[in-house]
Amino acid sequence: MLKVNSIGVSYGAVRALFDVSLEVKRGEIVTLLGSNGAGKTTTLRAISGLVPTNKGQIHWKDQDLAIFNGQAHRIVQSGLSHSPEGRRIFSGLSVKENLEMGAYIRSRKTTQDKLAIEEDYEKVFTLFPRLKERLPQLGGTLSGGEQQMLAIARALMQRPELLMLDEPSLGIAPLLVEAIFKALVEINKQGVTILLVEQNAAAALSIAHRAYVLETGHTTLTGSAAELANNPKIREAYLGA
Amino acid sequence: MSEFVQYLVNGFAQGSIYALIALGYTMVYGILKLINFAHGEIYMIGGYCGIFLLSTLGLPFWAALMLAMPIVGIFAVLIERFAYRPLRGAPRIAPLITAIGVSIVLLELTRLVAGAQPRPFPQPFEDMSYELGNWIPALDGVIIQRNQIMVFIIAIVLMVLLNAIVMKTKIGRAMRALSMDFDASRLMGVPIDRVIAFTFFIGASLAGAGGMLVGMYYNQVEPYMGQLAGLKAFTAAVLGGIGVIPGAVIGAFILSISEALVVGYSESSYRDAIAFAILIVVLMFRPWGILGRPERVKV
Repeated sequence: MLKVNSIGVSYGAVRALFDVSLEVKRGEIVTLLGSNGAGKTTTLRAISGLVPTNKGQIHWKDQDLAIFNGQAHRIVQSGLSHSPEGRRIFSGLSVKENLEMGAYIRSRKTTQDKLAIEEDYEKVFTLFPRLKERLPQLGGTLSGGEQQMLAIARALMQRPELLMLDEPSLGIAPLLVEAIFKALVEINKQGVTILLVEQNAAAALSIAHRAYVLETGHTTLTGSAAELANNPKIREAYLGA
Repeated sequence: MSEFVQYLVNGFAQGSIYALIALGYTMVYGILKLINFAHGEIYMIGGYCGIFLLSTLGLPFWAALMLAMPIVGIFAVLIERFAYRPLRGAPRIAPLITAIGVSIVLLELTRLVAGAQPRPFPQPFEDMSYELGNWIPALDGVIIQRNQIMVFIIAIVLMVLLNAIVMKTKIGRAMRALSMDFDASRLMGVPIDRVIAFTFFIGASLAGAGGMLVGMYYNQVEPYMGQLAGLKAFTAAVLGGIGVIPGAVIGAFILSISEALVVGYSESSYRDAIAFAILIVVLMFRPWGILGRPERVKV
């Protein structure tokens, strides 16, 4: 479904990605592991068109993403959602308005379209009941965990085929991390493919089907989640065992 | 008492015009962090556009106003497309200098085409004034001109419309989202170039309306009128908190009323001094303005 083929990215004179390749198949949860500065976030930003690549190709549903010419909004419209690092919810918009921004790309031409959007609101409220209680509140007044729920819910309002999540557990109370990862499994069961970037490798490997390891801008290792969880190098470097 | 109320009346009429200009400054700043120094000239062109539509084409006032606004708006969209958009992502100083350049070009072009002399603005409404003393004896001597009422009402209606667009429509929500987080907006599928163009369109339309109203209020327009008015409106936007839409309106009325009081109670030559004294004091003690918040450095 998504095939990243040996891409590179530079920020000015600084090279962030040298050679990153990965593949996500429809229905999977794939996680991208790596230490700080390995290039996980940059990889996602390159896929969603926020930063230009300087080598390699990204194929999305048999299309080369280069045709969108870095126009991030058109990439989103093609079914590829990205919930960015640090949540990036709109702090001055209400929870409701944040969700409406998620539904920005949705067509509202027919009553069917409108019903589908209503349906999706209900879906995300079932997934994250807390959000429903907080609808009129400004996004910036939510707790970290609630903001993360909002960020995921906002991305789901786009009705994505592939959802990319960047560090959903960062800075969040452990109890909420568990709730969020449960929600991710549920989202995946409902048919959304997931590409997950996580520093919490244990949690990520516990829900993922497959994983990639990224080191200083190179993908160095790949395998099923179970394989990697038992790999001694991975256990030492990322699982603290 | 009557004197004071008279100055307030004058202040509110002038403030309505400052507010219409200040809104464009603040909206563009809110999204692009660009002080669009050509905005005062857009307002001036609105005044000339009004003369053309009223005198040359002989349109009625309301039709002229409704036409002048989108004409000036499209003009600003073209400026954004060709002067500012190529500099998107460049250091902030580059578009700022470009804006000053655009301002000079527009001013000199207008001077070439229309001449440096002030042009009389056709009076759409019969001159009329009301003595408030007839209804409220305590306000004996206070006079409200019909034009002052028109200026104020038109400005308020436009601001209510703007508020509805910004707060209630999809593109308004996108404008607010864009002013908070560019990348997150792109990830929501917001076509940012189109939303920015729309912001310029709306801001310039309001300034264009301001130009027409000021022509009607002072009976004339001239090529240089955008310079001082632009600086004053910019001051108003900073005073209210640049980037904050209601702040621009509040700042504009505080500024214009201060001016009117200074003119009334001391000397009219201090009128511009008070405006810039306010600007200096705001920049010294509360640079984020009345409704703004101090800019935090994002981690």
